[in-house]
Amino acid sequence: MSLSANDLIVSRRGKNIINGVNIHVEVGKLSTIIGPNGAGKSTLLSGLAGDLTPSKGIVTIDDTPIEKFSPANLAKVRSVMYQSNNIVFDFLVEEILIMGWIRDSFGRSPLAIKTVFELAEICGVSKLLGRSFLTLSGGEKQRVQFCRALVQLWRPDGENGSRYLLLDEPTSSLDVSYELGVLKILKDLTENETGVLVVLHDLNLASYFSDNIYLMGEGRVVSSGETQEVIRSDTLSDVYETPISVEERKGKLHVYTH
Amino acid sequence: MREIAFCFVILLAGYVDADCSPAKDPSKIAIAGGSITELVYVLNRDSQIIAVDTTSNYPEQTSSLPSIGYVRNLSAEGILSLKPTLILGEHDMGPPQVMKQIEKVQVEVKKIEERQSAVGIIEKFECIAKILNVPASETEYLKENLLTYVTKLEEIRRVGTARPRVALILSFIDGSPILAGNTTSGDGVLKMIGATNVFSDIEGWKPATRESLLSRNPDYLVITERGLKAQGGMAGIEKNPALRLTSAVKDGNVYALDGMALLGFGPRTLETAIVLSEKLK
Amino acid sequence: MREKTLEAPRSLSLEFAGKSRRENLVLVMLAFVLFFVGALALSSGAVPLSIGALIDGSAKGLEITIFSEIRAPRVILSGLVGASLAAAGAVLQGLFRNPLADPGLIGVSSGAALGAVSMIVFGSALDLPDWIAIYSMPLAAIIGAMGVTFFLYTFSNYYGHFSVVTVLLVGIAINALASVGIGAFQYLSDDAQLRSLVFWMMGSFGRADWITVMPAASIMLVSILVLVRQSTQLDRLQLGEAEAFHLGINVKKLKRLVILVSAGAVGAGVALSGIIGFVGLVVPHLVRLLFGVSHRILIPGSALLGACLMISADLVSRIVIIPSELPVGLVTSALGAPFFLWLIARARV
Repeated sequence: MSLSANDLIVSRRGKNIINGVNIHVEVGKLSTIIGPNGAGKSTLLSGLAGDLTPSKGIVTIDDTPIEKFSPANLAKVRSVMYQSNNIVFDFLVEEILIMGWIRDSFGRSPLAIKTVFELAEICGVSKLLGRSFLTLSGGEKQRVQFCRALVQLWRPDGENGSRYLLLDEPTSSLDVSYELGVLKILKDLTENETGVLVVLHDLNLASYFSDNIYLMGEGRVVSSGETQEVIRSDTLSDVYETPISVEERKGKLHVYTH
Repeated sequence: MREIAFCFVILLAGYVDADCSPAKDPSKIAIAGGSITELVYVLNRDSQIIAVDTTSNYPEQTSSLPSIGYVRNLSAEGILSLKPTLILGEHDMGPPQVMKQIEKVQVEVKKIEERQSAVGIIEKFECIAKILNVPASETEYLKENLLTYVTKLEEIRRVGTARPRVALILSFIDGSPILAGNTTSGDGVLKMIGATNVFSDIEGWKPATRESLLSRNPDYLVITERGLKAQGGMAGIEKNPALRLTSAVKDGNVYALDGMALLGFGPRTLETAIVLSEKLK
Repeated sequence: MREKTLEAPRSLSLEFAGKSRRENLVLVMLAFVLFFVGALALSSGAVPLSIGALIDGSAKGLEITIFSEIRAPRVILSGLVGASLAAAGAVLQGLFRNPLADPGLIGVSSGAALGAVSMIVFGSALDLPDWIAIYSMPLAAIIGAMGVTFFLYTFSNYYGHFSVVTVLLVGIAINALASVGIGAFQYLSDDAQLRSLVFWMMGSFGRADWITVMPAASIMLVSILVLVRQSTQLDRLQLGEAEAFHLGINVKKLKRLVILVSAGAVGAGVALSGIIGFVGLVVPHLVRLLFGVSHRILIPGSALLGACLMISADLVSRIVIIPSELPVGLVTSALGAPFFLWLIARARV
């Protein structure tokens, strides 16, 4: 069971941003995408989220082409978190969180409220409840948006079926402790019939937590597989066009630049 | 004189269509239209007026009467709150929806037809006199008065060999004069005194360009007093780029008259037209 | 992830659940205020009326006619136009995620004005029989509004896939074109028509009568109800269009619906009462300040508050200079403009 893209080509204004990519986000695994700026990571994520129509190739969820899903049905099986900051009006944090609740059309049921509180506790944003979202710091906003994506995915015990969570740099504004917290939550999710795909810029975070890594460069997947296969000095230095060293310490890989 | 009476009868025949039948109760009148107000004063029935519109600014006593707004933008409830028994209005009173609302309340409304000529004014007078049930003994004398003006104007038209070339200006927008074309009250006045309207080929009130004013080059300019004031008096006219090169301005043949008196087609228009024709000799 | 099942802190949980109850309470309260304001407006005016006399049958024929033929359709029209403009403003601000959005912005009011103005100028040339002539203008205005909406829709869809920027730019172009059109008509018109035009554009409810108000009222009422139903979707749209899609919303359909329905409501209103400014812009902000930002309270709240304010503004315009009237657009602008400046000063949009 996976969310996959096969031979995906996405072009804009005559240029191929994604140039023939194959990627499989498997249920039960945490996959990450890494690569330099402009490699096409966010575009690939958009393609997998169903946001854009590829020029060639196909995106499937559990072998069903993504076009066959209505937006509502798609929302039931995949949740997305982008780096966006579009809120203009003075919403409260809990109002933002409850926007993620898609299980009933009214969206304010006792179950919804209970779930929002539980997840807020788990995500570490309960202290922010009751505050105006616009007054939060960049990092706090990011944590709330992350929590909202989780609200969308939530389901009661007993409900089955594969689900997917796509995230674009969910930790870019977070300090180290929160960063680790988010990745740990994502790892826990994979134990619950969920396939997670995260775009990360921090190579150490990626190498530590990933089950699968996709290294992108100039619209293509340059290298993919388990951590050891991808996190290699020569490959990374080549793709990032700067000397990068990889060291093994206490059974873990550490990446550093010179 | 006979010819005039004859024309008068012919024209009145055309006016028969208009509703000049006596009003059921003319004791409390609301008027929409300056010319009608003036005629009611001429007929000595002004004590019956309870309200007038904003175009009724003559005679002075009208300023103490309650105002029902602009003739084309009346308020139904406003008028009705004054409990008029009769509403007299010029042909363009409105808006039509408000007139319909007033109709529903069954207050008598009489629209007075407008014909922009000297005889037309007499017809208005006759019509209003009938509506208000003014007996012939009173109207004869008044009508004679008005008819002397009509006769005078007829004479002026007949005798005047030189037909003065006139442009009549209502007001100014951004320095461009708004001129009387055909079908306007301004054109009607000029026809009344036998003058030539240099803009008679244009329809309605229109702004004029410098070129058109220079190419037509009127010998006389007639401006409303309000328009003249808005342009800063004669000094402003002499500086106005559109006007200053015309013969009229160069020769000093620019005359200003009270706008309502000149263009309202009430009784004052007859008088004022004659005054104007004197100036244009 | 669900090993810990915590009890939500009681106070916050109650507060949040109580929010829905509070929102409903606010709406009920606004409905009461509307009822009160409506009753006040119905019983006040140039002609003294007593509702009591109307009810127990002791009122004279004149009073009954004034109430039923002049005042009642007028109060209903002003209420619905106020509700439509405010709801459309709220919805457009949400759609464009822009606190300055307003029905005028997308050009619908201008289109309606252009239709009405062309009928004022050409209507006499068409020489229609009286009974058609009275309805020709509102009809022309609705056609103008619908025409603009259709053009806006097709153009934005084809060339910009409904992007917000495209819609706003097309709206600006439409407003400019309409200005040109109206200016041209002002030039072509003669003095009589010109004055009618000027007064029509200033906005007034004095022309209300049942035959025109009934169809317009149904359009406006239905439109407002449809817009209220889009509350949850419009809330989610605040996260961004891509994000709303991720949450299951067909964003293109939502935009299309919102634009068409608000255009219909605004067009019907402008057709009968001319252009009345500021209500669509200012009322939603007032509701946000007082009651909350979620569209669940914002859309119905704006509709109710807009109706109250417009009925009040019309009441003021009717009783300040009896026996004539102020153009209601002047009243709303006179109050709306300073209030708008105050909003900007607070910078809390």
